[in-house]
Amino acid sequence: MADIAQLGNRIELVSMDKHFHDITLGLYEQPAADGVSEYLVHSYAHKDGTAERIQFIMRAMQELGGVVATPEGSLRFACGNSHRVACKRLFIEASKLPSEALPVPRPLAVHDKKAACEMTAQSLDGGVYRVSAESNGEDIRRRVLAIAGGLRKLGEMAESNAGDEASFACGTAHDALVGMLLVRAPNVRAVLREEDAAASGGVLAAPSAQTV
Amino acid sequence: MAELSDIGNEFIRQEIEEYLERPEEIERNIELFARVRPAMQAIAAALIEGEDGEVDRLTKLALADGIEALEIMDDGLIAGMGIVGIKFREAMIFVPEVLACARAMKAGMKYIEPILSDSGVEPIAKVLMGTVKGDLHDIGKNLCIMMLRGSGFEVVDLGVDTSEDEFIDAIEEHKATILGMSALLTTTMPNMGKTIEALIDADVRDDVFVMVGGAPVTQEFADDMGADGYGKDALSCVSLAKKLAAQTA
Amino acid sequence: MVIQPAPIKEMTSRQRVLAALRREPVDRTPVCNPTSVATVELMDLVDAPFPHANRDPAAMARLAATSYTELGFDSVMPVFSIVQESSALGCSMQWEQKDNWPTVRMNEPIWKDLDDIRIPNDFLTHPDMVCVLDAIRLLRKELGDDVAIIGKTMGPWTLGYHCFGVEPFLLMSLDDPGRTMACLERMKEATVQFGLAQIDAGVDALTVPDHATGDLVSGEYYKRFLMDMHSEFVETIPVPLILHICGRTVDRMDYIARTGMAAFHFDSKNEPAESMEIVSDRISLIGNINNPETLFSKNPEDVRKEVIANLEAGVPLIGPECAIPLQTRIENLMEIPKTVRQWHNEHVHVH
Repeated sequence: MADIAQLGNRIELVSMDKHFHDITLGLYEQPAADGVSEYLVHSYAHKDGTAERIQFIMRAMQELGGVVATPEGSLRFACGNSHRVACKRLFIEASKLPSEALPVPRPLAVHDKKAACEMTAQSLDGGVYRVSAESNGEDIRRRVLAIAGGLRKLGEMAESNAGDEASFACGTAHDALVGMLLVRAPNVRAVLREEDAAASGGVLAAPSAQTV
Repeated sequence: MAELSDIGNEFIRQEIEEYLERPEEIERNIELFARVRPAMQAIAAALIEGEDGEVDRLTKLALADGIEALEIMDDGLIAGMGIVGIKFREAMIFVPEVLACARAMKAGMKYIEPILSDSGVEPIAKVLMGTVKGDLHDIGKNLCIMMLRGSGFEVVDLGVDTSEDEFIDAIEEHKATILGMSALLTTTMPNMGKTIEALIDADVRDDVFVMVGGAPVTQEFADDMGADGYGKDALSCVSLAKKLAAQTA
Repeated sequence: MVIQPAPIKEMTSRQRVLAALRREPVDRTPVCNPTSVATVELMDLVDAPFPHANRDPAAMARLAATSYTELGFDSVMPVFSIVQESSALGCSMQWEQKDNWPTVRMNEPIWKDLDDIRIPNDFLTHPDMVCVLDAIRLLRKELGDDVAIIGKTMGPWTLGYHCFGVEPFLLMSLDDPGRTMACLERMKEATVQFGLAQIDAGVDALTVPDHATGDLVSGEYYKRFLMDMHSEFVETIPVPLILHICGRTVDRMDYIARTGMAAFHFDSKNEPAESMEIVSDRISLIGNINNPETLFSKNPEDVRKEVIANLEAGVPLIGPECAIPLQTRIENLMEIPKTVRQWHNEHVHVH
């Protein structure tokens, strides 16, 4: 049995890897000597080829999210920041790929169905990304702000400027990571709820016998 | 402002007096039952007692007397179910009693539903309802469906043990506004998050509002899973569905 | 609380569990889960994934053993789910996949009325029943007498849900309590038969899940329909019995304590100290580490806090509140026996 202490803290799980015998994959977080988190993919499965499958996933995480391999065989972000939440997402996305796939970073753009247009995340200096839409309008502006908010939540990024920007605390650009997170950004529930609350503030709800 | 003594039906007066504690609920139910006609109070009382035979009889009688189907549903059946929901929430009655009341509601709705469908009144919205993969419990889901239909929603019941692909296919086929998922087991709750993942992967997440519920589910869990809303019981499910539907209006 | 040095010499896990079930002194509080501690990672470790591990005795035994050999619990319990009897009775089954539990298709009930109830002659030789019995024998052979082997036999209320369907069964309980009682009397034969067979196979104790849970029915329901029947089981099934009911159960714990059962496996919705006060040394409590929020979602430090709360309340057997979510982290599970050992090293026993 693997020594649990050496694996670190399991922060994410793929319970059935559909591309490799339904093995279970765990993403573990370990603090390095400099205090920055390093990540390891591990499985308790003993099937032939398990090590190779894990190696593919870790390579895919490098391609898709820009993490780098350490001499000890873990992964970390070269910027020195942990980016834990984003790394969990990165692990899940990498695990969805078959080992024959060629992982390619996603573009900094996504089609937003609600706005019916393309949203782009432009990489500015200092790890800052500005979300913009190819169309205009009040509803579209709301979606831009929501998606920027979603990006901030998913990437643990800060708000800057007029709410349409998201910035990494490390001050470093992570284009591959942002491209990956941008796909999820339009659907982050908490961001949407804040958006809805702001839109409905001050509106009196009509009383109803059916309201509970 | 109405008072308890303005309610003609003694059973309803006793129910309000004995089981309702929150002032706003007492006030709302007194206003409601003081306003509705005695025949509706009688239907509500029979429903609260779980007397499905009596609800059947009284509903037929009310329709024969020319009372509108919508009035019977709102002022008789749903009004009665409101009291049931409060008693259940406060653990004064349990699931067997709620099931008996739901059975009584069904007895009345079997006359009401066809009339409402034929009337050409547009449903508020279309809702897909299913219990998540691996979970075969459907009491909560069925109660929600009944209440949603009774409140004017069109509901497609996807049944139990609904896979991610079945949810996705249903969204594409039915073009619903809302997807409701329930789970009664802590072991199946994670499948709500997996389903939402799958909806994102299939690029249909933006096509529906997702609401979740079930005994072990919490608001925090719902938020973490990426749902649009959480309803802790059948009545909350209806008010949440109305709120979500209003966002598309 | 009077602290005295512990004169009890070190016990085996089996001795510890059995002593705690009899409310006798122990060297330290035992750690056990009378339901299941199977996880997807443990399945990988011993190559015993669901559903195979629910239907093949060798895989079932391999996976069950990990609770002792890998996690450090004092018991093993090979019946991970609650479906074997229902499968043998003829229910429509869904065996699912690695990361999900097998279930009974309760929306396809096999019984509608009292006269439909039948325990087949080949009930105990059904493959899913034989799987359990063989797994128990394998575990006893592999692990000897060092660890407590806990079996599981479903109570009649749970069988009622599975075979009649939950809604029809609950409606029957309201519409015709007499008929419901008669149905329970017939179904309990399955409980007893399977329990006795597992004793022959070598179990030390039996979990009896009987889901008259507070989420569905009142405490008075338990008293009315099940209390006497559970007392009867104590007479007819000659090993310590552990009743398991999920959900909020403080309103029925006094009734449960009257049954004479050895232990009650209780849910985290019930405060340990309050529960201990209600049962008042008439029955051992087992529990009650929260599954979905603590074991599944939080960290070892949070597990530790709940273990300590239970130890300080005097709960005599510590463990998760129910069958754990299959994705639970191994390190969270290992924290339970680790914390119990550390706590005992820092404290000494009360006798």
